Amino acid sequence: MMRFSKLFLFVLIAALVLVLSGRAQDLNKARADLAGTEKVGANKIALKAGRIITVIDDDIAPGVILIEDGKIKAVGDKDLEIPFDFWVIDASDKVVFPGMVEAHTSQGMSGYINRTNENLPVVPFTSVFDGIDPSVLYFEDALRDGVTTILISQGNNTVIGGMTRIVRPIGLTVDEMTVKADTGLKLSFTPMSGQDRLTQMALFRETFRELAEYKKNLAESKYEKDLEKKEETLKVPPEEAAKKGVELLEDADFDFKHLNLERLATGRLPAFVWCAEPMDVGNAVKIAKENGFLNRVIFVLGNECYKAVDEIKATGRPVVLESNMVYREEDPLTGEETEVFVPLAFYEAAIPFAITSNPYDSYGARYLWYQAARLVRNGIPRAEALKAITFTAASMIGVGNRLGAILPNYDATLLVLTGDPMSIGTWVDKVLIEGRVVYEREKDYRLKELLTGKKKAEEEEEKEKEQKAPGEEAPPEEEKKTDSDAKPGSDKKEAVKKGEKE
Amino acid sequence: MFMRLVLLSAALALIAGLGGAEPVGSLSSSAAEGGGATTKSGLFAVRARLIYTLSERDGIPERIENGVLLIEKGKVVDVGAAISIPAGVRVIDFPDAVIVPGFVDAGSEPAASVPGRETVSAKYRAIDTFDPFARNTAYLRGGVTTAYLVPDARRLMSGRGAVVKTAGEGRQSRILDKGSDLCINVCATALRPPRLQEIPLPAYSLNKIEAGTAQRPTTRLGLFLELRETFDRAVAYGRKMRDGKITAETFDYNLEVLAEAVAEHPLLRIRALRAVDIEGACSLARELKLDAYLAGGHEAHRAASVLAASGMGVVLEVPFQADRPLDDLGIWPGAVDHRIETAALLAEEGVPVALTVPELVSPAEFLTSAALAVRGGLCPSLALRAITRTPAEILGVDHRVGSLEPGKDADFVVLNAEPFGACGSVHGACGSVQQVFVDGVSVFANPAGRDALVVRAGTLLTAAGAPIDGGEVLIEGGKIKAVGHTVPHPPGARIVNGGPNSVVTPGMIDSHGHLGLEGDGSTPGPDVAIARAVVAEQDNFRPVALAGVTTVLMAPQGASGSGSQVAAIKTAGRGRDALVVDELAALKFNFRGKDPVLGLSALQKPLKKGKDYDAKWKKYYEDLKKWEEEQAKKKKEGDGKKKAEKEKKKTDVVETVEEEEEFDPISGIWEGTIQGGPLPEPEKVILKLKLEEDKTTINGSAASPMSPEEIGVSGSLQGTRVTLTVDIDSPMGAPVLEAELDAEDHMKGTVSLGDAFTADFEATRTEREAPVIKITKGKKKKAADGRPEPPKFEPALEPYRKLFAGEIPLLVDAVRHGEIAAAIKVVVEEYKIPLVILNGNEAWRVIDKVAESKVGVVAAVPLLSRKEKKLYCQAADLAGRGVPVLFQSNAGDGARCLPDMAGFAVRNGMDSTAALQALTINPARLYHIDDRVGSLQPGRDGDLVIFSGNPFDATSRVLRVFVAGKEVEP
Repeated sequence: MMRFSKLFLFVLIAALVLVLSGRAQDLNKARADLAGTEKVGANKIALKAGRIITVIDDDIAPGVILIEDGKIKAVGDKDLEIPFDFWVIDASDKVVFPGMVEAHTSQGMSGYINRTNENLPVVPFTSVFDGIDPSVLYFEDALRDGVTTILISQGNNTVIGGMTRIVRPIGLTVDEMTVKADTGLKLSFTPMSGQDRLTQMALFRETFRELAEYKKNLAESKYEKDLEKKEETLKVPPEEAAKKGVELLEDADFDFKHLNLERLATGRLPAFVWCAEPMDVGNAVKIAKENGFLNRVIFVLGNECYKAVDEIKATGRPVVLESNMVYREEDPLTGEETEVFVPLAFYEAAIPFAITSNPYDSYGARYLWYQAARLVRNGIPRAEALKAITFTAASMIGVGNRLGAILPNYDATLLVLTGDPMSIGTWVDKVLIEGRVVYEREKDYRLKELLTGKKKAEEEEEKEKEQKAPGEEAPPEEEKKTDSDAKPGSDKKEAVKKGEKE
Repeated sequence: MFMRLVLLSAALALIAGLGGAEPVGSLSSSAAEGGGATTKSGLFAVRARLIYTLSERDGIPERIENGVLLIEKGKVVDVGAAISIPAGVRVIDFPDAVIVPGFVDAGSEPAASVPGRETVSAKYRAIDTFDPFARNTAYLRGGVTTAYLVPDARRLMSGRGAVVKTAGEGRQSRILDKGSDLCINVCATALRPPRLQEIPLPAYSLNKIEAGTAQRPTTRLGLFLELRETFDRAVAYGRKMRDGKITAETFDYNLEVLAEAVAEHPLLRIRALRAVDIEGACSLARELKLDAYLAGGHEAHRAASVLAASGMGVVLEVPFQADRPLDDLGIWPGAVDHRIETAALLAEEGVPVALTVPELVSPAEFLTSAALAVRGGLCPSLALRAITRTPAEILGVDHRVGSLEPGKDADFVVLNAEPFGACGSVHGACGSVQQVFVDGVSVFANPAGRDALVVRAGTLLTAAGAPIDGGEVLIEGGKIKAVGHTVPHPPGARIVNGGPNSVVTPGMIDSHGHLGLEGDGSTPGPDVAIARAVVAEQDNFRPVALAGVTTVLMAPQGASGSGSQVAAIKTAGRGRDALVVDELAALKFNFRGKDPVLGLSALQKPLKKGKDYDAKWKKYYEDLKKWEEEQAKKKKEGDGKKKAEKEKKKTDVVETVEEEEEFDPISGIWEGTIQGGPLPEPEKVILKLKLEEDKTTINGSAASPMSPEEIGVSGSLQGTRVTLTVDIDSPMGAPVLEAELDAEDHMKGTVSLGDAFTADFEATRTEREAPVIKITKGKKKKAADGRPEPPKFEPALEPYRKLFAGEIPLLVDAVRHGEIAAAIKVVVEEYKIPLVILNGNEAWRVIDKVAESKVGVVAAVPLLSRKEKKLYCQAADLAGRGVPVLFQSNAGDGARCLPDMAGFAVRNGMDSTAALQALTINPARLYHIDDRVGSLQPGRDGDLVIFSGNPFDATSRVLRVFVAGKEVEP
């Protein structure tokens, strides 16, 4: 009896979650597809496209892309022969474009509820792995808007934040979503709240000094232990022992507090360096140079930082720009207002730059393609603008060898668009991630609902609600989501079926 | 001919405008431009009235009059009075300004808004907060080019300071000192620091988060105790470090940094306010064997001898009591004794003093703050040193800033006067910042005083009142704001000092000249606005303006039979609006050579015509006034009676309609359109017509939505043919409307105006009620509602209206005494209008009449003539008899000689005051332009001339000329 009621409750909640969350079966199915079952023959796809925008090379119109085992096997014009066993997707009236890349965001970590930063200022041992919530709507929106590769990072309110991670917007667990783990540490040179630049910079210096001290002691003891193994006695002074020990050190010798810092300081980790103001750039360059990771820096910049373009140029490092790409300033003496289109400054300085979107923007800035169109509007060539949301972004976050362009041997992460990516009337028709169709517009239930206005589903929902026990209130949305996503995918599916039966 | 002239001047103006009509600006503006254009490379020179280089000469700042600064690549190459400027080198000139080195603010506000956690720590570095992209307008407004960044003042040892420039290019070149000073604060703000909490990682039951350890100092006693202990610990830690005995457990970053700092033998910056703390600071520095200087030092005067013995410098905060009172001292003996005299008392003891503003006071008040120390007894030259060289020395950056010497940074401030009203200045006014240069580049130009100008002179000849000895004129926005012994000095205003012997007069007026007419000899009629010939300043204006003649009564060389216009124009200014003072200043007549009796009509005829015309207009305005009054009255009555009236009216209308109802194809209101012909778009017209009882005569009115005034219409009906004539007088005749009644309530036809044009006409009757129409043929001048019609506008007679209104004088060219007498008789006695006699060579023959009738006389040239075979200066004679005399050039740019001519008249017996009046207030009054020019009074244009002495002395010359507050550049 007891067991039955528990099960019943479970089923009930699962059913409720499903119904209230807008019945995203299709999407979830798509996500599940990637994790589990596969269509027969779906590992061999021929995509016939009206136009292929390769980003790197010239457009091919019309063209064919052969996909095998999630990778692009060949790209060619319409004469490219399609082998008999390939499943053909006909998009000959459409445009194929690489999946768009968001080079740096703090989205996807449970939206408004979870904070994107720890309280402690120096936490290189944390990771966004623990923060990413696969169920947040951000990922669904990303898919719908054609963003297939997302680098998730801690927020800017930190000194040394945690580890970043590149994910795809599908999958039921973070592991499933992951494209690449440990893609860099987040650093902020703009003071975290309640702190000043004095403290911010002192903490950087202290952290790296402490690391050096720790490493010295570690090397010393490692050397000693090594000698013990060889049954020899320590004969050299401590400094020399430390020097000799350094070569013996392995990552495993470092404790969790120091490991990622050590990887950063030895140039083995990229650093996403946030600078809100131009004055922070100089400080960042100084600290990065002193501690040996300047050549791994990716600047994440506030708008005003275009003023420090010379300093950034000198480092030769790429930049990720804010979604609001316009900087306005009033002259304190004359009251005259000036307006600068920030990406233009970086383009003119030939600094590789990626642009980002803002999902909370109610206008165009929530779409990466729109952001790219703004670049063109402000005088940046189209090819460069398209790269800023694909190849340049993918390259700077370390996946430029498999994402961000349509080339043989690249991941078959592609968008099938109804028109030119920068055209306002264009929809994302299909999304392929690593050779699997994970989004189809005609099956996008929520989008349809939005476009058709009144929703039948809602009425049904209400009916179902009435059938439920009258005293039981529907749990708030966030709660139910976490509940549902905590369960493994297969369980959920069963629950769904049972719920429907009842 | 005249039109050609107008066109020619317009074309000339255009060309001049394209090529830059304005000369390369006044000095300040050229300097501002120059600053912007000056790159870091390339030699250029800066010249100023006075340069304080702050070079050491027996401890007294060097003062170079008419000095030159040579600058190359942002550094001073040479400075001095006798420097030859190489050919081709650009010179930025500041003839009125004083140049001092950029100020060094060794105090400055804390760089951090949140203090560090540790009570004693050397790990915080103020340089981390240096923002090379910020616009430090507050500092630059105060003339501060070098500032000290303090890490904080709320911890016992708050970190290391830094010295940076407030402007300039390049992060690195702007950092003068990255942080050698160790900042210590032994004042109340450093008491009670927060508990120091270390959060363990990972935190769990055996590795608890503790409440944190308490930190000292909590009392004044603890201040020095904590410092001594921490220094000892740091020294011990340093020893351990050298021995390599630091393990992961004993590692302490805070001590490590301090140990390193102590090993560097840092300069200590000890902020202490009270005398007892200052003495403690001195002994601490002695104990630690470290060089130190004191900051704050509110009570330093009480510890002056101790400070002097310690050899420490003091960065003294001068209490800023300029805009608010200080805190009450009360009767509490412990109150901090903060006073402006401290600097002077310390200087007496030989303590090096640098001045700064206290906390929470904007660095924009830097100079004012130093001035307060001067008020407290500090010698001005020491005060200047205390904001430039001394702080640079204390901070150890004097190798680059703090003085203007070869090899040092070209950072300097352009002040409008001596910084502290030092010796030699007339009124002891303090200078204020006009412009700031860093590395030889202009980084700030004070916008506040940009269009303000103060002219100071030994004597002001105001022309409208008594002369003022040792006076000033303030010009703001091109107008005179104030005149007097002292005037307000807006901050940043340019101050022009003419010197003790100089004399300032109003800009002078040529009462009859032809400048701007380019030798055009035509005689335009009275309808030609001669002022139109002036579009922009022409090349020959400049010498006239530079001679001090700033206004010219521009007249044609002759005059037409019915008069010619005379305009008043300026000789300098940008554009027509600035140049034209008065479009119509006088009406010129030529009576020269006319018979005094028979030729009278030459004057009388046009005057009579003009008077008639004027009378018509006067009558019109009177009628209009009456009519308006009546309307107002009617309205009032109408309001009073209200309903009864209304009803009565209604019945009236009904009656009329009933009468006319039998058969009437015409009566009623017609709405029509006129289109085609020359009309760009269709015009609406509303006709109110009434068919008279004879069934053929039509009377009515026409109106259009554009001009609702109703015009009379009359005509006839022949069968279905309607012919209407509209009562409009035009040279081509009255418009005629011919239409056919093609249907009931509809007519179609044409409107024609003589042979000039024909347009299609179509109308539909909208109401059949016959309107009550009051228009009759006889009453042309009244509109439907009885409003009087204005008389016909006649451009050629328009000037006469001004003449008879007494707004302009009649300028009558008369030479012989008969002509003069006749002119006076006709103009003054008969028509009673103001008269100015032009030339009047024989006025002496009728001098009584001239004097009696109060007419002005424009002195004939040449000035000397013969009277009864003797040399005679009529100007002097007339002036002596109280006749308002005016001077003329009767030439174009020959007007430049006018002041000399006046001087010649003075030497021939004319009173110099009268001579000045003849050039200034007399013409201004007679031509009714005295609200703009002619005197130095508030509200008048800022036109003035600085002479080196009395304007009519043979030895004095024009030093400078200003028109509308802008200097006329040679």
